[in-house]
Amino acid sequence: MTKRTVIPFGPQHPVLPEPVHLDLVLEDETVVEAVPRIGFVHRGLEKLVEKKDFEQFVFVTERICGICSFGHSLGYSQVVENLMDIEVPERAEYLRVIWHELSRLHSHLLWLGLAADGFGYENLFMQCWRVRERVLDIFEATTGGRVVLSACNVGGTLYDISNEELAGISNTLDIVKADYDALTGAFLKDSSVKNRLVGVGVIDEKSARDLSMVGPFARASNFNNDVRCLGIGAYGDLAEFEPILEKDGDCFARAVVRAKEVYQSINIIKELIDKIPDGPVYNKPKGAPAADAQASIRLEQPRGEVYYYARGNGTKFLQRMRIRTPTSQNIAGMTAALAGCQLADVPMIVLTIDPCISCTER
Amino acid sequence: MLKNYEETFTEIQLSELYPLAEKKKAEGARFVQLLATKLSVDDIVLTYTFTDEKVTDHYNVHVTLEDTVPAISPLFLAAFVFENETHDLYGINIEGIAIDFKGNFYQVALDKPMTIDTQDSDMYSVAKKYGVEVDGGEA
Repeated sequence: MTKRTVIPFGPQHPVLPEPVHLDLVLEDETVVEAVPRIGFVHRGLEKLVEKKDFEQFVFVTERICGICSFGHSLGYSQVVENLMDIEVPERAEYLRVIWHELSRLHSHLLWLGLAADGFGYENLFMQCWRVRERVLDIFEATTGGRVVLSACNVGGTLYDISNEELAGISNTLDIVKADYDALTGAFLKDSSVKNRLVGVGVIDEKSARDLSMVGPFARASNFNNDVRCLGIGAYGDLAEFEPILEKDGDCFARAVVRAKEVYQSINIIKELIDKIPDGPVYNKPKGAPAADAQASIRLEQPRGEVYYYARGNGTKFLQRMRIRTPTSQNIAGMTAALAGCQLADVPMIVLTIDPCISCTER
Repeated sequence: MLKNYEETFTEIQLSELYPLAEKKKAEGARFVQLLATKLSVDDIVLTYTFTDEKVTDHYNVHVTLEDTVPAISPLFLAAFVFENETHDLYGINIEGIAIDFKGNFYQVALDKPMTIDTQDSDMYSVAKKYGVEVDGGEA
């Protein structure tokens, strides 16, 4: 019998932007089991809902994560609106989806850069992040912030974007698309990239469903649970929405899903800019959530489905608020993807799942 | 009700939990999450959520700290994260967790931190009461 060795991986590792630890059980160079461990940066933000009222807490939620910042404020606002039956102005619904899809662009371009860095393409990494800068410039021009936007609130949005500015955003996205066209070939056609990613960390469709995987990680295994298909908010006004699915379930398929979703997000934003109605953007909430009222919402963040839950107690403070992030749902899938791989492939497998530990530990 | 979003909330007994999870597994439903809510000292609600990718179904189970809750992670592996979390933050006994960290999942300074009442006090007085050192205050 081959001798087994346990190799600790993380919480500090060059490929990990955030702390997660894996005990890798090896037979020679093959990983036979991976035991994950988180809990290094748990912040107890869900408990803070007892000290911040439901309107203040939106600014806490967007500090959960620097990448999904807008998405968290959007999901939290939607769950409280669902709890209190608040109607959001239609223009605000459009603006929310525009900012949210811009966040997806920013997240995916960031990830593509990190992936390029992971397989040794330093220049590609810098080019991806150069394209991403244009998206951050749009955030800054429309909200004043590049990471934490503070643009979403319960009842709508705190800022409007004029139709002239929206036309400017549409033009900027044309430039982003042209720049991005020049980069995608490196991800989708380069033989060195394929050698590193194809056939690595495979999860088939049935396993993806059994492991309750979400996001691009699941869609790369042909398991569609893209919440945008439900048509919540302005997503319901899109002429059509087809989720990006791949069948191979390997690291390459995950990169392909994200690479294609960049184009998809650009198209969504441009369509909504063409259709956005005029009108108010904020409907100030009145009263407080009713005692024992409960509501939830699911939202498609760049890394996958996020679940929000809120329960009222008759005061301005919520009884309970819950955020279940995509990474906490994908940890089981990550352990399955690692089982049977080679030790040298572990960093790429972990990277292609795009884990966000700050989100997970809230 | 949010446009195009459907959800249900159903109250079930603790004895119905595992058979429900088996039924959901057989139907091909996806496990979404598990959360706990403390309503009073001896009433904690566990909310299990599943979806068929269209409707979001919640099942509320009322338990106490004396109850032993069967783990559903042997059926839905993704639940092991939430079962360990519910044990560490609420002190709920969950039996048979697929990957059981036995109380060491989160590095927390207090036992059962999510069950502490903070509504009528500031964080410094809460920290002082539980003997936890906090920077920037007279804990």
